Amino acid sequence: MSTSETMSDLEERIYTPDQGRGRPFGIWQDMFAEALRSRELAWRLFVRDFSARYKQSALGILWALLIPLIGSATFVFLNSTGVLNIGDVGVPYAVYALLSLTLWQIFSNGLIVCSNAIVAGGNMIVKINFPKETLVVAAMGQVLFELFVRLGLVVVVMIATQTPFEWTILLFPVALLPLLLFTVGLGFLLSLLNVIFRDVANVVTLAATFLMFLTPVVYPPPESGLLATVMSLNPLSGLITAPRDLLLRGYLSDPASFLWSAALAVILFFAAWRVFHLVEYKMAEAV
Amino acid sequence: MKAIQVNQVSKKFSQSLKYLMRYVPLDVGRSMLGLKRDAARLRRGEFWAVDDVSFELAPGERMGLIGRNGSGKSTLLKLLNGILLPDRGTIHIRGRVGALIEVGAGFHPLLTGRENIYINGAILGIKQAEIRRRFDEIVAFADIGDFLDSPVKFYSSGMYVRLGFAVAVHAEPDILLIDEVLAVGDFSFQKKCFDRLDAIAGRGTTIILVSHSMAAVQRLCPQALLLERGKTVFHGPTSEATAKYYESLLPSYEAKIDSRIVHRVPGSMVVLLTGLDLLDAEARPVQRVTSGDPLRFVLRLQVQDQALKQLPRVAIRILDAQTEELLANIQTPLQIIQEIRPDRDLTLVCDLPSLNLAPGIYQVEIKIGGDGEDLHEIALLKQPLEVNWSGYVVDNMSYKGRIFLPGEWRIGNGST
Repeated sequence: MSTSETMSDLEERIYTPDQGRGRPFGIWQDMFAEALRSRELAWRLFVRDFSARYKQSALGILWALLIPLIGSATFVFLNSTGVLNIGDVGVPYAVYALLSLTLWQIFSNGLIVCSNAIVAGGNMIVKINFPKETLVVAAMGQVLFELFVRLGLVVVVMIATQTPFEWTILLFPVALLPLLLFTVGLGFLLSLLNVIFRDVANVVTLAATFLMFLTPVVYPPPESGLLATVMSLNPLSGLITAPRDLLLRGYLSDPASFLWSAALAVILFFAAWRVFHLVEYKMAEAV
Repeated sequence: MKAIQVNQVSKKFSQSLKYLMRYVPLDVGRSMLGLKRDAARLRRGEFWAVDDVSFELAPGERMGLIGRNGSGKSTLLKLLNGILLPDRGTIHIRGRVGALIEVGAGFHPLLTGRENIYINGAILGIKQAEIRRRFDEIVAFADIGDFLDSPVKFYSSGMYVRLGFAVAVHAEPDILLIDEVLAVGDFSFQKKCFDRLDAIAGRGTTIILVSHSMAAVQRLCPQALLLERGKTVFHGPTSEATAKYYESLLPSYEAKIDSRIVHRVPGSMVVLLTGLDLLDAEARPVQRVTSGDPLRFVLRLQVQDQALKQLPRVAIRILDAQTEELLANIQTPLQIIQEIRPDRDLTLVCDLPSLNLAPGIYQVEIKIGGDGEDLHEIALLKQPLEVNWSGYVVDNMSYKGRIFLPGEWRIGNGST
């Protein structure tokens, strides 16, 4: 029969109560296949959010520049007036603060937008079947775009302050990758949690502010003391210091810390992705 | 080979957020540990939204999914679309699924129609190249004219629906799931949608249509499945299914008159509605009446606040039971209101010499208070009313029109 022949070519889907259980390797295959298929959707969602975001805004993309500029200007001011004594960071402090805040904002903004991504897309989730990962990835896209704008600003300020460029700048993107994976991984988990407990969004915003002072962002890590211990155990320290070192110093000040943090970031990312993939079906019920 | 096979599928929901917040983390935890979700049983605070439903559709078949609000139609549709996973049973779907659970879900209000076509297409899983190829066709179908490059938040609701529908039907799915979206839009657009659905069904697309409009279901689907509280009540020819659906509408109205039906002004309870009787010509209480027969409404009220100087307006409203469209609003004349001395117990009688309603199921509402009294609590009593053809009940549903005019026919003799 011709109908049954053509029918057998069609993709078949089976929905059962225990979707994906008991196929540990099949799930990874599904996940990668789906990621490949949904590139276009993630891109479209990114473009959608991006163009909508700057459409009804007088300053538009300028905001991406203004926020880190004002942020680092604050620390430069505090440093130069002596309110905050940061000491020698090896390069003009303006460059140091601007770059550091740019890196930190990947994590803090990334975490905030990712953890809100599923709830914000709730209306779509209950009405359309699509890979929910794309919502998180598209949200992270906004953060990446801001990153590019701000890195441009960093380069301009580096030139203006005659800060030398090291060849290791070429490795900068690679060193940035673990930070991105760490952020998205954590974002996956928090976005799920936020669906059930809306407190998460508030907690994340608060925690991000607090965490910044437990991470050597606007100042180098202290030599000793409680804060030094905390910072050495904080995976963000390595993930933020390494790209900054490569851009400003030309060498890694603490390669070991970067390596274990990076390994942790990769593991976290894949584990979180898998968890996300396994439980996303539940989201339409709870969102 | 079937396009859709639904095998003893059930889906449960939590009744309240409290249980949801408890059970979701529990279920998620279990499935992460690789344990069974223990889905087949109901826990406290849960109910079956879809309960043991089975059916099969061959490619090109069209089925209507009907039932009252909350009967599980939309949930079943979401299960078929994979938005929700079943808690029991299995669903096999062969082919690309297009779903119109809500038209324009995923539209961004600030973006233009043009931008939203591409985004919505991507969300529905259509390749960008395919959208580009069919772009003109989509725009022509949506008929939004100059608004193509305006943000969709400036669209009328009709334009919004047209655009969403246009994108979805041009995806050329093998299986199309539609939820009540055709209820919106004007007549000409509805006709266009139906023609389009006919055309894609003719090409072998399997269609499931969820609707409260029996006319829409009859128009498009030879078979229908009637759900009640998540269970299949009937699955078969549409005409039979719709007849059963109309029957099911009746007993659901358990109009109880209780002390909660009050008209209040802020702070004090003023008027209590204590009774409503519908009486026929022989003064017998009725719930079924015949088109053109006389009908008497007897309302009993109790005035609680003796300081009340004038009775609030009382109205008898007649609504279409399905669409809740207001068909008649019979108000107490001002003269009566002014004459009444608000006493403790009051009876109001309203006589209709002839009930000029076409056969069908209606809802009678008694409303005390309302217009211009925003802060007041309005007393509202709802009761069903079935109107039949004189004498026989048979072909009630094929009656066209909403009102009954007792025309008297005869053969003229040339001059009159």
